[in-house]
Amino acid sequence: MGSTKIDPEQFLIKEPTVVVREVGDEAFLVHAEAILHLNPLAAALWKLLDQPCSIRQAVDLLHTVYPEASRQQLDKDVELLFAQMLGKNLLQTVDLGEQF
Amino acid sequence: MAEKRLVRLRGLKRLILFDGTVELLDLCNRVFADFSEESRAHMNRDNLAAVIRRDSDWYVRRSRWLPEAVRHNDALEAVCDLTVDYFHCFSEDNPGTLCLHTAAAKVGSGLMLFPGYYRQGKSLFTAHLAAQGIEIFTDDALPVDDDNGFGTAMGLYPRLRQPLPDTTPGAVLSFIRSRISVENQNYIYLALKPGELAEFGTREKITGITLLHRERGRTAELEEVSRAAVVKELILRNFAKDIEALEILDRVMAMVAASDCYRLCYDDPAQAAALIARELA
Repeated sequence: MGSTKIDPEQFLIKEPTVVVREVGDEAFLVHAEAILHLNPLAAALWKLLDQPCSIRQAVDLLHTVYPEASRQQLDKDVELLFAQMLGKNLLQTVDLGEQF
Repeated sequence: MAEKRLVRLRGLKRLILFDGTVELLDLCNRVFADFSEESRAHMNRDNLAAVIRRDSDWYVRRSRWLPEAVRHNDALEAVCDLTVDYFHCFSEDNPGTLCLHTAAAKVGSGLMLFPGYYRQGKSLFTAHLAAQGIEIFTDDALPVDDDNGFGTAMGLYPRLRQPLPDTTPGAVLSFIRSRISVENQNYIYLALKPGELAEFGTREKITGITLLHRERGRTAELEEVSRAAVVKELILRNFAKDIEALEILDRVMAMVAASDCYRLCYDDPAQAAALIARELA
């Protein structure tokens, strides 16, 4: 599935109609009659997206948990994952400025 | 005028028409183990699942699930391929039934599934299990109803690819050779005996799921496997189309939660089957 370049400061949040089922530290999402599997990292990131979250915030959090991981690699991985999720309509963009 | 015969395979509401191809009925008996014939008065377009006709040297099959006709010039191949329509028809005739590409056998107190993709060696492994005295439910596909995860035997004889591996032990070769129902240069159908093959309609609770992992040179070993990996594998193996995605996921998760789950790593199917018989049966 194609993915879109995302501004690392862009806030994203879960599409509310997506259903999640957890199996251990992994998860399965159901949306539009498709079932998607999330590995442990993706499942953890999915939980973050209950609230508006940007790529930068997600990477900052991951870096505190995995300080030995390359920040550059985390940036790439999180951006790719969020872009794929956005491309599959699992996420919505949020403009926090409009909420106030 | 070509002779027409109508056949109802067990478990199906719809019929198969053999139009000028009645010589295939004997082969059907050696593959499907049991079916009944219906009066031609019952034939209409709506209750036909598939039709097999002759076209010169070819058997031509049309079905509701084929985008275009399929042609075979070997009688056994023409009958073999009917199993595809059989399971699609069964799935439609029994809505709400999951249909999994998996081998399955009675191991211990319940049914053990051995899901695997096409050409992974499920059927050969099944034959080795049978040679170990383990009762087989299927070597290929299993309907699973919603009644707390029960699998149902369809009574189809296992189908092995020819040639059998050179490494097949003599005792297993004897077992196979003494049970050949029918064969051609590509396939052997095994007419397993009662007690070796569960009869059509036999139901058993699914209590175990073992993922098969073939690896060259690997000594047979049972490993732990994540339940998420098992859930993912079973979802990929389901070919029933009428069930909503969330229901498929919830039912598969319930099945996995209620089962002992393993990964079986092996190179030699004889060694792998002996391990299952020794450790789990």
